Amino acid sequence: MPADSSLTPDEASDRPVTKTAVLIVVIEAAVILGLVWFGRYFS
Amino acid sequence: MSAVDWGVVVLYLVWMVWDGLRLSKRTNEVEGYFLANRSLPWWAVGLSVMATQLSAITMVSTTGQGYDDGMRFVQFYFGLPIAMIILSVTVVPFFWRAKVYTAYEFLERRFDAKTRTLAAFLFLILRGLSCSAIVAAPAVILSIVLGWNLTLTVLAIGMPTALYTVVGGVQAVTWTDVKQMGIIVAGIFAAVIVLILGLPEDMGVGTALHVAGAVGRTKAVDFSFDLNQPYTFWSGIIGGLFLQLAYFGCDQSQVQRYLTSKSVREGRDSLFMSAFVKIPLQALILLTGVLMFVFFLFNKGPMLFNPAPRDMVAASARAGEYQGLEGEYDRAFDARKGAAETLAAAETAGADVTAAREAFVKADKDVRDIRSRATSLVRDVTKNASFADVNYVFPTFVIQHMPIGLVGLLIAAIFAAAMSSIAAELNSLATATVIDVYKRHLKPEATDRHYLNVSKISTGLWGVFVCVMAVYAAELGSLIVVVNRFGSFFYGSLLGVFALAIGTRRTNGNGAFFGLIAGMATVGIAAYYTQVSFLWHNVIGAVAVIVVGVLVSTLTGGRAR
Repeated sequence: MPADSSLTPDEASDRPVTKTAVLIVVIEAAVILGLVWFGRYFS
Repeated sequence: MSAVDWGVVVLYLVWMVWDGLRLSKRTNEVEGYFLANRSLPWWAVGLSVMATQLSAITMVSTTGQGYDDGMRFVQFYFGLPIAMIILSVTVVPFFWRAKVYTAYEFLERRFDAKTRTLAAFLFLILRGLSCSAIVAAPAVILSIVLGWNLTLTVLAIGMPTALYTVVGGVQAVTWTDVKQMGIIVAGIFAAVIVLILGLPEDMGVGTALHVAGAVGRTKAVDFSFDLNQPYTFWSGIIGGLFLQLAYFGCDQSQVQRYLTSKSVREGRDSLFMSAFVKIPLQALILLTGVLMFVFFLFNKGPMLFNPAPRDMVAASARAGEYQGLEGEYDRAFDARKGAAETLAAAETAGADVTAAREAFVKADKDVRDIRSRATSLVRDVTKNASFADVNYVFPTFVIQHMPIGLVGLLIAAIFAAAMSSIAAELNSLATATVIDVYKRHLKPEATDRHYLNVSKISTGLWGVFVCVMAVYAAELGSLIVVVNRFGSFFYGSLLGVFALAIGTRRTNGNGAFFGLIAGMATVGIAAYYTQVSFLWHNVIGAVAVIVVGVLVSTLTGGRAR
C-alpha cells in the first residue's frame, strides 16, 4: 500500500500493465531458455 | 585513420552539436529545460533510457568480455525486465503524479529534508565521478589505440556534449540520444557483418560458434548458486533485480528520463522498451565479442591488445623475458590456429570431433597461459596491479580490420555511446544541484528566469568538472574501480530508502536517514571482509536499510499521522 494517499496512483492496478507484465515475463523466460539452448547446442 | 574515417567522425560531432543546439528554442523555462514540459513520446524516452545506460564502457568492455569470457555477462541483465515491471507500478506513477523534478525531492515529502539532502549529495558525488570515468575510459582507449592526445580526446568527447546539453537541456539530451542509439546499433551490426565476412572460407557462422563453444564462449547461463561467482542466473535475477530497481528507480539520471514523458502510461511504456530489448541487445553485443574471438583465432592479433606498456617493458630489465614470451605466443598462436582449422573441418564434415576438440582446448589454454604470464610481467614492471587488455580488443579490431568508412562509423558509435550517457548525467546532475541544493537551501524564492540561468550555469560547470576529473581519472586508472565500488555501496542502500518511502506507512525520517548510513556501512563491511560478489551487495544494502530503518523508526516514535 502506498505511504501517502495523496500520491496514490489511480493507475496502479491497470489491466494493460498486467497484460504487458505477463508478456514481458513470458518473453524473458523464452529468451533465457533460448540462451540455455544456445550454450548447449554450440558447445 | 583515413581521411574518410576522420570525415565521418567530424560529421557525426557537427551533426550532434547542431541538432542539440537547434532544440534550444523549446527550453525557455525551468520545467521545459529539465523535464521538456512533460511532453515527450514513450519511444523517444525509451531510446533515451537505453542510450543513457549504454555507455562507451559498455560498448568496448562488453565486447571484450565476450572475447575473453564468452556470453556469461548477459546474466547481469536478467533482473532488468522484472525491475521494469515493478517500477512501472510503483515509482513511475508516484514520481509523475507528485510532479517532482528529482527522485530526492520525493524523499523530503515522505520523510524529511536531511534524508533528501543526503541522498542528493551521494548522487552528486557518485554521478559526478562516474560521469568522469565514462569520459575517461573511452578517451584512454582511443588515445592509446589511435595515438591521439589524451586531453584533446577527453575534450572532443566532453565539450560538444556539454555544449548542447547546456543550451538545449533535456530536449537536446533526449533527441540526440535517439539518434545516438541508432548510430550505436548500426555500428554493432556493421561490426557483426564484418566479423562474419572475415571468417575463413568454407566456415559458416554455426561452425564458428561450435569452435567458440568448445572453449566455453557460448555458455550463457550458469544455474549454480555461488555467492562468490559474479555472473550466475541467481545473482542476475536477484542481485541484478535489486541493482536495476535502484538504478532505474532511484538514480536521477534515469528517473529524469521518464519524468519527461507525456503521461504515466507513456513513462511506463518507455521502461517496457528496455524490458523487451535490453537482454537481446546485450546478447548481441556479447556475441560480437564471441565472433571476435573466432576472428582472432585465424587472424593474428597482438599478444597483448593494450600497447601502452610496451615501451616501458622494452626499457626494463625484463625486456628479454617479454620478447621470449612473444616468441612463445607466435608458436602457440600457429598451433591453435591449426587446431581450430582441424576442429572446424571435423564439425563441417560431421565427423567425430572428440580428438580435434581436445587438441583445440589444449592449444587455446596454452595461448591463454602465455597471455596471462605476459599480463603478470607487465603488472610487475609497470607496478599497475589492475593492468588488463580486454577493453582494447574491440578498438584494435575496429582500427586494424574494419574497412575504410566503417572505422569512422565505429569510432562515432563509441563517441555516441559515451556522449549519450554523459549528456543525460550532466542534465541530471544540474537538476539535482539546482532543485535539491540551490533552490532548497540557498535561494528558495526567485524567478523562473533566474533558476533557468542557474540551471544552464550549473550544467556548464558540471561539464567542466567532468572533463577536468576525466583527465585525472585517466591517469589514475584505479579511480574508475573505486567509483564503481562506491556505486555498489550506494545503490542498494538508496533502493532501501525508496522501499521504505513507498512500501511502509510508519517509518520516519530518522529511520530513513540512519538506515541509509547503516546500509552503506553494511555493504562496505561485506565488500571488505567477504568474497560475496558485487551484485549481491545491492540486496545486502537494501535489506540493511529496511531493517535498520524500521527499527530506528519504531524506537523514535514512528511517523506522526
